Amino acid sequence: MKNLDSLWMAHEQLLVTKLSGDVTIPDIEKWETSLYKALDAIGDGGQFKILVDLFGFSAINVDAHKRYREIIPRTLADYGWRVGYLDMFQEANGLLLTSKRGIRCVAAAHVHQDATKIEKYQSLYGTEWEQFFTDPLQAREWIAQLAV
Amino acid sequence: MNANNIADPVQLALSFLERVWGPSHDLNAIDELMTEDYTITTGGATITGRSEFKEWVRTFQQKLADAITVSHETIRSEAGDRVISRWICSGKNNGIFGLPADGRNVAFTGIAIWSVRDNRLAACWVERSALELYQKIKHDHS
Repeated sequence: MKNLDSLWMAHEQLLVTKLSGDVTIPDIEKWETSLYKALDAIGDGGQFKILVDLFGFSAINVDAHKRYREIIPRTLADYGWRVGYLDMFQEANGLLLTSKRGIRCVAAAHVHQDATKIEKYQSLYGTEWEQFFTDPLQAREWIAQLAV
Repeated sequence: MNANNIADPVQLALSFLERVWGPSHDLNAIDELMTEDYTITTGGATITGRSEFKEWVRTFQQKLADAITVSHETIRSEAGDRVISRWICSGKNNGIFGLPADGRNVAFTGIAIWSVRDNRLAACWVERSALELYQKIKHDHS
């Protein structure tokens, strides 16, 4: 089963986005739309934390993976946030950080089931404001306790 | 809401789980997301009415301190009148299921099925791994 949903929770200043299942390009486009819709719900000049829950996510083929992989980094760059793992990709060096409608992302939690990848990301790119998890519950607890 | 002003059932379910069962325990969300005559059937009992449900949640969250629920999977029916979530709930035992409070971290899994009416969650049926957790805590205290 696929989850392709995003939710903005103003009272927590938290955006939760979920992408899971064996997803196709149309699935990714649907999820992307949900992400933008949730971002549109944030008021001008606001700040937000984001929980990117990809637990169970698997792209159905290389094209789907390519379609997916730039969405979070590019989208968050529009809100002043540089995703830690971008340091792995040379082509991302020129990524420009902007602040759409004056809104800024201030923290990010990433979840995926691939323990090898997550442990690597966490050890290389984990910071006070960005963490990588294999457990969605731990990610939810961590992002919740961060004061914006 | 979508272009036809119809609430997406998955958004309703996720909003409920994230807001009411997320760290902020925003019980006021129940007024936004549930019908006035909301019912929940779980553990052999049925709670009827939005206010009664709110009180039931409040009591439950007192007995499960720092409760957090995360949905692992949500499924919507094609007609949009049902939504299902498979979730996990964790917290600290403060007397859950009538057992002695010991502050230990506990977790149980569950599946909830909601019916949707008038763009709100109208009824819910929940099955959860309560017995397994109950037996474990009780055994440890015996």
